[in-house]
Amino acid sequence: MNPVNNCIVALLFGLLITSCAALTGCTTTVTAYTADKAIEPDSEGEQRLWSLANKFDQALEKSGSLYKDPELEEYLNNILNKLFPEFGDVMHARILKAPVLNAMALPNGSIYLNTGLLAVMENEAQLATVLAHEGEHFVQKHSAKQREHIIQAAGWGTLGGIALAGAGIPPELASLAAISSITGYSREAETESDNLGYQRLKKAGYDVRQAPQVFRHMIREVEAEEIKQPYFFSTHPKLQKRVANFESLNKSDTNGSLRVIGEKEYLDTFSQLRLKALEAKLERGQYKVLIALLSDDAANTSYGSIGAFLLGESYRLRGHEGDAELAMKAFLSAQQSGLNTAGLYKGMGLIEYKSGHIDKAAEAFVHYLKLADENEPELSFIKIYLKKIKREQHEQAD
Amino acid sequence: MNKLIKISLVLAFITIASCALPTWTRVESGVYVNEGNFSIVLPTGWLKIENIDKTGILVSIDGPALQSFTIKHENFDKAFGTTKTEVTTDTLSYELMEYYIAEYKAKAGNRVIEVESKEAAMISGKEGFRVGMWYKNQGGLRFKQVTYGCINGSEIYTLTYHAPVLYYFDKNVVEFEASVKTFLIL
Repeated sequence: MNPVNNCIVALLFGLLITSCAALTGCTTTVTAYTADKAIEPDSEGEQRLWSLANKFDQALEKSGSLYKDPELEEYLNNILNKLFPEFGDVMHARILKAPVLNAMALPNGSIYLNTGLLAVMENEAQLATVLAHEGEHFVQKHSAKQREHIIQAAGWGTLGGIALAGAGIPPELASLAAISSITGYSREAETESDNLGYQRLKKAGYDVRQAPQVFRHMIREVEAEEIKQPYFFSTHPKLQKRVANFESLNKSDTNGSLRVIGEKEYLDTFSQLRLKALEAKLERGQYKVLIALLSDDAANTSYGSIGAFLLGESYRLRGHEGDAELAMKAFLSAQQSGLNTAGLYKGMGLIEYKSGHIDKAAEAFVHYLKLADENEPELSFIKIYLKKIKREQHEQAD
Repeated sequence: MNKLIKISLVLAFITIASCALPTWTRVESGVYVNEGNFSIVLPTGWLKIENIDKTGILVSIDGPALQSFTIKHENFDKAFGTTKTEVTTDTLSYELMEYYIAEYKAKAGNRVIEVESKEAAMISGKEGFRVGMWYKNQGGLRFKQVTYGCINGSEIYTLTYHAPVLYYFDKNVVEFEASVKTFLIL
């Protein structure tokens, strides 16, 4: 987001705070939705938030930022229905093309899950944890209750959590998204959603032992991105504490192993999206995040040979000392798992070329040229490198 | 007397303010030399503004929103601040292009950036890249950009042409490409 947009967002945040504060009694009069009452805004202030949320939905629809796949949406909404049978008509989950690990619940019941979040979830129980948490934000009307933590949420939004203004979303709507994101609500609201969401998970028959893992994924991403305090973490329940909270809730649960994890269903359904989201992370230079994710053996297995290839690419592009060896190891692992693509040999060739192993580089580049489509955009680079290698080989022979 | 002081103060303020702001000047025919950095033949009659982001020059004929041709040179440690990518003198031209695209996409937030061409290119006799990209702005207007880039010493040079696809991109891209051919790193 450019500085001008940041200023506009900050300004509109101010307006949002003011307008929310103007709804006197907001915190005292707002009551959560219940199954026996019509699901609609109770006050003028809530009506305004609903209307802003509806505009946000429309803006996202127009922006081309939605990952549209009816089968995947149906899968998500079936889980929502299991978790919130009484609110199934109002809540609707959609997927947002955004590589950052995030999700958000809007005041009108719309729930958005980033592709970057779906990419790292390992099973349906983890996905259900996120949906239960986000759904509770809606049921408890946290957006209407939100006050004091808006500024911290803005920090998250502008630090790359959402950055929706860049996606063609007007800044005031991006602000709404910032306060509605997975880490955007106040400490109390987040804890309440964690606890109530946990009960929903249990009731729907999911293995609650998977819940803490969702926050471990977030910790890994935050650490890899080297996101530092202070910002929302300074007043927010720290991720580590949320993991501990779930673990303590789990201690009293003795039937966890009898419940649904849904690993195969999840991986089968989201396999393509997960890999596309990882590729998007690579294309945006999130090498450290990918290395943290894919060097975990358990995770790597679930992404198959393409996961190993993307790990190799991440090491190659990060370029720290020792990364060339690690990249080659990952490429070989991808090859042994049956991957035989032009991209794999291009990666191997570039590593060898930079390391001065010109014979091995030539071998890999020749292999690349055999497999590459003639319209492959990278062809011109590889042909130049190969020409230089051949010249060098001739000179060495002479 | 009081009035005179006030007028003098206002005039002094205007003078200082106008000195601080970079100004547009018309491009004359011939070679433009950016002392100690580069030389290039810019399109004659366009307007130029120097020291953009303290690193280069911007030229345009109808205004930067309608077409801009920028030349930048940045140190390795400043070029890719969003992705925090580490570039060295050993970085290959292909890798430099990958880093450039990654930085551009990372800076664009969730705006969808499409890469439509990637080619090896020679810039001032150095191995570099030429990359073509496009995106849609908030109003749905499509913008296109072509960037040439290469490494020189501990700096990254980029030459970029950016304009709306509607009318403006094609109108001046030929002049941009002609200028790039005359670009020399000093």
